[in-house]
Amino acid sequence: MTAQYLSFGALALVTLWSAYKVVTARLITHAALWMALSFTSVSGIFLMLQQEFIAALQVLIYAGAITTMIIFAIMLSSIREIRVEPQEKRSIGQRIRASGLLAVVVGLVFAAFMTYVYYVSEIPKEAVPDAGLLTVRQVGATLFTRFTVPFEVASILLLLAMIGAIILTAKETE
Amino acid sequence: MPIDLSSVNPNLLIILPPGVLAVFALVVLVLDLYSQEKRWLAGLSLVGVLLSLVALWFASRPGAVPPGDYFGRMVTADHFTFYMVAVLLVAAGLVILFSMDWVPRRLPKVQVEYYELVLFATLGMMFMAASRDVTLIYLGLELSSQASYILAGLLRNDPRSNEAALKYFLNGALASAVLLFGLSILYGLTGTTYLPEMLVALGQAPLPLLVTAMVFVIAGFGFKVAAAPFHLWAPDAYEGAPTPVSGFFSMAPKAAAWAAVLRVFLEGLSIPQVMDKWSVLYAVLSASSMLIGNLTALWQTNVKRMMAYSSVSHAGYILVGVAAAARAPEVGAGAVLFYLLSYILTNAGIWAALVALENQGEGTEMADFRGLAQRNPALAWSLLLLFVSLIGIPPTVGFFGKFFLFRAGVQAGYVWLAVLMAINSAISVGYYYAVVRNMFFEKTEKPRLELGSSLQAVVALSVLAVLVVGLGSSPVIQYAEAALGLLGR
Repeated sequence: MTAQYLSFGALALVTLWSAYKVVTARLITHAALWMALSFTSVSGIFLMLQQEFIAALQVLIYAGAITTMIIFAIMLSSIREIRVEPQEKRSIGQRIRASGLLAVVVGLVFAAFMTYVYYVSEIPKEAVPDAGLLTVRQVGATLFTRFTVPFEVASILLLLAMIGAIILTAKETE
Repeated sequence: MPIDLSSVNPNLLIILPPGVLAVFALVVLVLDLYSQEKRWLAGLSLVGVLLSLVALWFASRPGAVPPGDYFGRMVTADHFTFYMVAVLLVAAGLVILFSMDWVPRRLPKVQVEYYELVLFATLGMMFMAASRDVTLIYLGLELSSQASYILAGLLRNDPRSNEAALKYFLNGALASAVLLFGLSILYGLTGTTYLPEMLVALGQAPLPLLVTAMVFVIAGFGFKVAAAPFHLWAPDAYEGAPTPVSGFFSMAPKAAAWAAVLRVFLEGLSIPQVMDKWSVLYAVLSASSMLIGNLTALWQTNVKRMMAYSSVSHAGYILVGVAAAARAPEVGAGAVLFYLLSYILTNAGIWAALVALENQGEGTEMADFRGLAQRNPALAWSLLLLFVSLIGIPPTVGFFGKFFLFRAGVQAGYVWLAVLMAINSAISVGYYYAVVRNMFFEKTEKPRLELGSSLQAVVALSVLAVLVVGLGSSPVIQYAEAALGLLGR
């Protein structure tokens, strides 16, 4: 049990830290790589839940395909680096905002609150039926029976995202 | 091991309205590549919306689709679905109609993409309204939100449009995350995403966690419907986004979000332990939205921004119905559904007028309305009637909408909220009157304001609907109240 907690804690920490670095990294390519790390550690959490197939998908699709896509997108755009112009005089309010202190405080308060809520809640045992090991076949069958409509809507969502990316970034040509 | 298909329960007729819309969206997308002349594709999008409405009419005839869940319990056939999908399609049709002259002028490069995005957003909203499974509700929400973010940023060379898109996107992403967090806790507690099963399983759920999840869901939806204090993105998004897009924002995505709110809370979270809690929370949100929206709107000089605050206050009015729905479900939800229709019909005409001003190369400041009665008397009088409807004065549809909300509030024991709503309606006279004063009592040298035929059609439809639906409100409200009776209880 302790090993389980420890490994979950380690994976959660890596996920959170890399997610934080995604937002704060100055070079966008670095941000993309941090994101890949975050995805990979999420797949570790899937492994802990004994969902090998989902974990493999997470690595293949998110850490593999999506990160590659993002790096391609970065290469196609002209933005490489995010620069924050240092200001000569900054008020105390601006300094506090820039330091990220507020985010840390809000995050900690939130974490403490959620921990408290989970602590006082008695979660019924066996509330969620154990899904067991999902086979590829089961995933496929569910996707094409119960989840047909959401699956199609998700496809349209991806198409829309692609159209949107093209509209918003295409070079203006005469 | 063959795959068991018996649980799918497909029904072509119930999926036909969104199906038709999706097919038209894709056809328009492909035709865009091959046609030089783009204007007719706007007409084709409109035809798609109308055909989707026809398909909906076929599906909603009594006995055509037996009430129930189809496609693996994802798509629901009931009066609620039919009513909301019809309302959303009407909104989409009106938006396409009032954009037809504006888009070729201001967005010559992405004309067809504009209609594409409106169609895709509408498709997502239809699924939000038509499902009792939070998976599909959430996916529909994402589809419509993503399309909206892109729509807000279509004026690429206008920094305010970029700002609007960015603010809308960041706030929307945060809202989605908060909503998803709440929904994931609910799923963890119950093991299902299907709302009726969730309702049964929630009986044994621990209360602190359940209430926390509920608060997250309320906050997430609060962002989407721009209820104060989650409304801060709305004024900037409305002001910066292209004008017809702002009109679209104020009409369709909010209506769909309200449909999702009613579904999730009345079907999934209506166990007695939490019902009163979310009811009170919504009542508080309602009071703050009405007050903040109306009082801030008084100081605006830009009409688009004013309409944004006005929509915040209208979210407050609608929340009266949502809060009341916890104690008097039929009356409360019926009033909300009716109000959504009335708000969309009224708003279409007002936004059409703003689009008309921009079509002549003018802005949307309060000053641009000066002397409108001189420049186009018909439009000025129409606008007067529409503002009267937004304030809620008989015999317009706005009055009946507010009346039903008021009745629901009183029946549910929220007399203070109902009274606050009446007071706020009086406050709102102040800022609508500012526009009316500019229109009627200021002189101008500007030439006559011409509306294209499509804009004329929208204003005429809007005015007609405000009067007809207002005076003939009883069948509509009866249908709306019956819609909830079939929600599966």
